[in-house]
Amino acid sequence: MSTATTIAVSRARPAGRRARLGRSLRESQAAYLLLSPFLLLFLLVLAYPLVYSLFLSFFDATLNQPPVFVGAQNFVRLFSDGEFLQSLRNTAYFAVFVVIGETVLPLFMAIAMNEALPGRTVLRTAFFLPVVTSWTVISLIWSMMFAQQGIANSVIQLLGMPIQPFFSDPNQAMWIIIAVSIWRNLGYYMVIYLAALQGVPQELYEAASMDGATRLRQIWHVAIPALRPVIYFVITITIIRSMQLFEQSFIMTNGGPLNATLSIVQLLYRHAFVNLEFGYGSAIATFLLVLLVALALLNKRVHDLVVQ
Amino acid sequence: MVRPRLLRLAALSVATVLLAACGSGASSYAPAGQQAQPDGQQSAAAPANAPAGQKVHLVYFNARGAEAVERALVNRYQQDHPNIEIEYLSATSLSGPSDTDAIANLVFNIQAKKVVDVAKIEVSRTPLDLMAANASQELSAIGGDAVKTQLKGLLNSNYVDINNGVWAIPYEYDPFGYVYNADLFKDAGLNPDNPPKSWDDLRQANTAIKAKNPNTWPICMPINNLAKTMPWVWTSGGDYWDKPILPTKANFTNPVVSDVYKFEQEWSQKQWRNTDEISTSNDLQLMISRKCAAMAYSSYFILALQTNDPKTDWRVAPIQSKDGSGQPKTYGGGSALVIPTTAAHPKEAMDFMLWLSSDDAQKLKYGVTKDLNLADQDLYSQANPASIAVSDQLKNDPKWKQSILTVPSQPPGVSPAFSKIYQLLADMQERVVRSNADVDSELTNVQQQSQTLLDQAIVNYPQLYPKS
Repeated sequence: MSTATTIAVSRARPAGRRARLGRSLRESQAAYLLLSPFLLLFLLVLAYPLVYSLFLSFFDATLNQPPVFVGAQNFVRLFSDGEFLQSLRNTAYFAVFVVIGETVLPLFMAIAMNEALPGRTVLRTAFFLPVVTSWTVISLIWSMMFAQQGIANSVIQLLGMPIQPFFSDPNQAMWIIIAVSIWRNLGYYMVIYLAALQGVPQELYEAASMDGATRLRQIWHVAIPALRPVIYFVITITIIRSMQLFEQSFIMTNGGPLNATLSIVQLLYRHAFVNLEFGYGSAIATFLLVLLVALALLNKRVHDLVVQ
Repeated sequence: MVRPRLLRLAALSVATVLLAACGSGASSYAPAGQQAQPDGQQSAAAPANAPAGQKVHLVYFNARGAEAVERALVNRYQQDHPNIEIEYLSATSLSGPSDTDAIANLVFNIQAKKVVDVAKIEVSRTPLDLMAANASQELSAIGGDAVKTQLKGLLNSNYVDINNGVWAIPYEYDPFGYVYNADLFKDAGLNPDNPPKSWDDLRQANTAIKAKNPNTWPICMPINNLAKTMPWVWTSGGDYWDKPILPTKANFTNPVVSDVYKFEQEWSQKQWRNTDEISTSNDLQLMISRKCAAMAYSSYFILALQTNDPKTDWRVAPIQSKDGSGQPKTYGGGSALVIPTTAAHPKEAMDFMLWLSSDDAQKLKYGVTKDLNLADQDLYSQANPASIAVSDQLKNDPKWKQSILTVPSQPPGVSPAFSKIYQLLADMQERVVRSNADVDSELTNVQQQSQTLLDQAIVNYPQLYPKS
């Protein structure tokens, strides 16, 4: 009797699961329909190119020629390609400073903007304006500002200091690109922090205040811990974005001087769209994808450890 | 119960509207982007003429700018040929150092077998790139003798005549010269009517200008750039290759090439030349602000200088040769027209191309015939005419006469490896100029790398390199 019941139950279980799945699918039909335009575009412009790029990275592929399978040759070439290694170093250098700058500075700004400052709305708008300005416009304006006869050198001369080479100097050129990148995105991350700060219950500040905590201590012990998930999010996004450096260096320096601002994505662009080496370009893209996934996982691991 | 139904209905409506929107845009003709016929059949099998009563639909892909002028010419052609309708497509370039992305856009269209009947492309490397990839058609096979006859009247025709076939028709001509500020010459006690002809003349001019204007660079030239350096080599009787098209041997270590890079290095050492890289976003500013007294650059740049600073006397001269003798030569940039392998109507495309490059159309394009009512700004932003007759006519036009530089062009050694070799040489030039790198060892190193790339191209593209 007992065995028979068990068999009956175990047979009934898959049927019940199927029924539940069917019901769940019926109930979520509307949701899937609403998501369908995005999913369609996702498959067409993201998933398919991604998979195709992975596939191409194992081939020697160029325009109108049948791709030739070359195994891991494109990946081997990556690590003996001086330009690639330099672009990797440049991008890493850029990313380190941009991630720090874009994580810390907007946090300070958000904390300040969360206070009842006079002209707060105007300031918030001013900080957010660069975010809605295109990279092309910003890059061109900064190029003019930091040209040798640009406004930056005029100010420097007025202060009695020697004219700076800026974009002609490999070190200075990268620092200008780092500065413009951080400046442009400050407002975006400030808004994210600000939204999170406004979600911190007022009672927590009040309790801390009753315990005698100063405003600075309230921020350190109440606001910052509450923002931890948002900080994690900002770090993840800034890592991904900074590793994709392209527009700024493409427009402001074209990777120069002496390839000092050549980024991984710009090198990818050169190989894929100038030299029409789709296979090698795809190998660079695949490397970047793997690197980004690894960095995101590492960031998550660090975050988990900090939380524990 | 009502809410899920409403939600489903709303979702269905949204999805239907979006899908309908994706599929809209159909018209009476086959739209651009339609699938061409399978490999090898597309142009040959495509009907040369549309059925009676139906217009022939051409797709014109512009990957080289001059938007307003091209649109006006397209309209004029349609007006004069009621049986033809032209779909005009243009690929917008990123605001960057080149139009590479626009050409890449065209390349992807061809790769995806989209119908493109005529394409306007960069003239020096792109015709060979497309030819090597079987992406463009040999033109005399479509247009017969008319094609070679047309070429005789066009500048840069030596760029497109490859392996006894014609692979493009030159359309706009962009020669490089020595663009200079004649007023600064006068200020420095130099005679602007007698611009430097030899390297020693240039040294003297640079010294005089620098003495008079210590903050001015007497000579400016793009730094990471091969095209602007090549004319210095050719004008002094040297070359980088064994032949100007499809070279098989790189020869960078010859004395002329070496001397040119050493001469450029001398400009840097004496602080005669720019340290800022020059691009289309700062070229005007550098000249108008007097930061640069002269620039080795496109001759039609004069037109922009005259428009933006009409009070200054702007002029252009050929690039200086080492000893001041010999025939000046230049890099002839600009654009050309091709018929991609995905053309649906190659014969009609050919007729359209022959018209665009004819003297009549070039007169319209450059405002000799004023019928198109083009603004000066549009006329001056498209390089010089490829038509020799129209160029000759514009030499007498007060606005154009400085822009028209009558110096023959030389093909720059185009091959399937050209883009990569170009970048190798441009990077080397930057090291020579900025880091004072040793010229001869740099040239030896880059020659070796370039020869490897040439050898690979010869192996990979045997159809381009006949054994004989």
